[in-house]
Amino acid sequence: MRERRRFLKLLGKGSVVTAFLVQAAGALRAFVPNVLYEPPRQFKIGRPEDFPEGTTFLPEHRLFVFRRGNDFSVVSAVCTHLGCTVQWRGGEENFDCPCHGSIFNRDGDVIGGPAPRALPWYSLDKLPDGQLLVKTDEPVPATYKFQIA
Amino acid sequence: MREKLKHLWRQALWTWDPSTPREASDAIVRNFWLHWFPAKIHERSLSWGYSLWLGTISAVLFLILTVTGLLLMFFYVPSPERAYWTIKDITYTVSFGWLLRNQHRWAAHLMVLAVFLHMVRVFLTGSYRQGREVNWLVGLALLLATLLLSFTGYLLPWDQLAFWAVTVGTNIAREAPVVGPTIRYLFLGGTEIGQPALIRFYVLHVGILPSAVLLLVAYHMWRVRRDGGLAGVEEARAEAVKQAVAPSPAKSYSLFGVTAGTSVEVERSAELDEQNSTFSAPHLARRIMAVSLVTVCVTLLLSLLSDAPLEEAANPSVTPNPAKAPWYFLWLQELVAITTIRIGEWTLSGGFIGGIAIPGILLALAAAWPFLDSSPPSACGKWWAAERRTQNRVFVLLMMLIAALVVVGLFIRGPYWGLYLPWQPWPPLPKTI
Amino acid sequence: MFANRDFGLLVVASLAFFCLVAAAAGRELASDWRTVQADFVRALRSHGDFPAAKRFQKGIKQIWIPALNRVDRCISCHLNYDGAQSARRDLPALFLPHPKLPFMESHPFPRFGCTLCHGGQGYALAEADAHGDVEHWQEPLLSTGRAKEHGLRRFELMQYRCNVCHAREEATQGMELVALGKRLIEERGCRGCHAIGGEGGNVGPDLTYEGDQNPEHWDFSRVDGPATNLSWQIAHLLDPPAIVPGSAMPKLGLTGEEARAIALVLLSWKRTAYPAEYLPRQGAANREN
Repeated sequence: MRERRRFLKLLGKGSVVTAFLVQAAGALRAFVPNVLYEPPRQFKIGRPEDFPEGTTFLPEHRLFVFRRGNDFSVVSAVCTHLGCTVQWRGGEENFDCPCHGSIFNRDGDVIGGPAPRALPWYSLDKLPDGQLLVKTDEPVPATYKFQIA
Repeated sequence: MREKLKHLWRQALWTWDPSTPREASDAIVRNFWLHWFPAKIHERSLSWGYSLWLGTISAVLFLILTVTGLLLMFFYVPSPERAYWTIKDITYTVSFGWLLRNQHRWAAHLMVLAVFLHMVRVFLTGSYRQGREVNWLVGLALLLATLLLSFTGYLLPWDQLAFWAVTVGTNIAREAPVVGPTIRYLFLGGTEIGQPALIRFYVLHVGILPSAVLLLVAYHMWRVRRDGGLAGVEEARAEAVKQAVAPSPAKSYSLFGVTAGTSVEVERSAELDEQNSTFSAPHLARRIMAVSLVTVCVTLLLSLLSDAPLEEAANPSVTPNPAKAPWYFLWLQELVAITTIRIGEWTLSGGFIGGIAIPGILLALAAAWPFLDSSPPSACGKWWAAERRTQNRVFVLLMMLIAALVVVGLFIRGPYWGLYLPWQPWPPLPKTI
Repeated sequence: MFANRDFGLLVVASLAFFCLVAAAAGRELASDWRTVQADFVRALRSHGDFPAAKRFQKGIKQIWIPALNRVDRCISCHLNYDGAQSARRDLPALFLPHPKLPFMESHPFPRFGCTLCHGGQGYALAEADAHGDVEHWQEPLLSTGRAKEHGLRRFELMQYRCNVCHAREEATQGMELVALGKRLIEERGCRGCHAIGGEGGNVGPDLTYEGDQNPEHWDFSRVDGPATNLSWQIAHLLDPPAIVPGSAMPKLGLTGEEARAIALVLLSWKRTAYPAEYLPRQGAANREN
């Protein structure tokens, strides 16, 4: 009789605690979004022939596109320190960050300020429709050049 | 009839202007507004110079923020498309909307300052001792909550300051080891700053954080009384305890046994004898009213003198140059900008050192200090006690360092976070037309 | 004891509280639009238009254009903008109706508002803020003074706003300077080096959305005149290598007026999301005017 009561008590307490924990976990899980209203990690930026020699800034993607003849490369404009948008200063051939004064050279390497890492370069591809595809989920070394035919 | 109404009114909440000591102590119990005060209060607790009344000022500022904030909620819409323009409407078309917004902003700035100075006061007077250690921790939690409230608050206008403050703030969070990226992901509700981030910060700002502050303040106040009042009276209490240390044979202490414990009744309040105490009503109540009124006046005056700024609408593709955080975070911004360490190939980001490690160490030290401080009890509740000279000096030095970093960030940082002395002109910021 | 001093402080603080709230109320009541509206009623009376003075209803007035997501509160001060308040033509200039220009018929106030053409901050009500010559507002009023800073007259400067919609027309009546710019862009063969709307070379940067350029990315150290997008464009068109050392763009030998004309066209090339019914019908431009 006492044993049964103890068991039932334990069962009751256990159920309440478990149920509460599961519900709390569920509520917390709700804060992890299952879909994102965000642009994809790979996107088209236009045809190669649209890009002039030198540097082009794409504000909506926060990217710089470099073109040297048939060689293309794409570097992120997001400072590796705390995420502000760097500006290309053509005169000095530097990327400067307005937030905390990081400076990157032409290759994206840090030459001053607090930034911990070089600016990442991204892999490129040419799609059958003639458009350039940037893959921001595929970082590449600064020496990377995408050659168009 | 009139007498009856008057009686009802007095019964409901307002008994005032006591004519006898008995009425004065009754007032505390009878009056709704006074019931959380003690009946009598030591004169030292009422002193202007000891506590500087910074805790009261902080609480009043929080009250102002709650009222103005609640009113602003009627006009503000937390959506990236609407938020900025509803702020414009509040500023320009809502009757007295400018006053609401200005007062909310000034009270917020002042609250950060008041809470910070309150902490400085408590440290310098050594008031976190003698059973008040827990309340010091509660106070630290309140300081953090105040800073979080400010951070989530200046983000809501969804202007350039807001957008880039969240960018920098959440990227600092990302630098935390292991859990950093997850925390950022949860705060933003994604990887980029948009609607999910705005609504999360909004709910934190108007619901969760203010409730937390309210609960913590209630507990903080309860602890103040539970711990025997302001630490400033400890000296007087020690004196009283010394005098009463020999138990009177006439009283039947033996029933309880006069122990070394810290029973509130025996050793704490009761021994503080009547001679230096005064009735809370009206003396404490009057001072609190005066402090509240002066605080309200200061926020009003500042609101009349200076308008809350609103930068351009948030624009993810343009970072303002320079992008400065509000003054109370500038020391952190300065730290993250100068603490990146490079040893050969190996780099430790300033975002981690200045944004997480240094503030984390400071916070941990602050939390542990009451338990490490081994100064004698006689140093508790005294300004600049000789026994605590060294630690007070180190503390002041640290605080002045933080203040110096704020001043550097505020006055001599310009475009690209370069150093510009106040009289050096910045390169002109170009406009479209 | 301290009781008396405290009492005094309480009284002083109460009085200060009252005075500050009174000052706040004073500021609210002294806002620009209230002052102007009081002036308006006074002007109507002094000019003998008593029915209009009686009819006038005080309050913030606005043109709300949901289709364009715009609000223009200019008319809270420019009260007689459409001549509906008073027909008198001897009122102070502020209270005179907008001139009846030939294109006004096809650009009615309720559909187009004010700032779409004139610039300025439609949301604001205080004069300085509304005219937009303040920090943190990028579209200030296109005033005579601002035009003069760039060597232009006001109606010339404003043509760049017209061209945001009328960009595809070769020439539109009333937009002569911009038309000159468009003609020059064709004649001088800008497309040889620059892509414009997906057409043209790639030696120089794509100019399709040149009006959206953030001037912070440019170097103004060699530009005379105000640090504005427009002034940079003018200086650059006149002598590209002098503004951007090492630029591949040659000196085109443009006159000042020609450079200004092209710069206005460049400034008007912006991304817009105007609904189709707001855009001029192809080829209808000359008829409509």
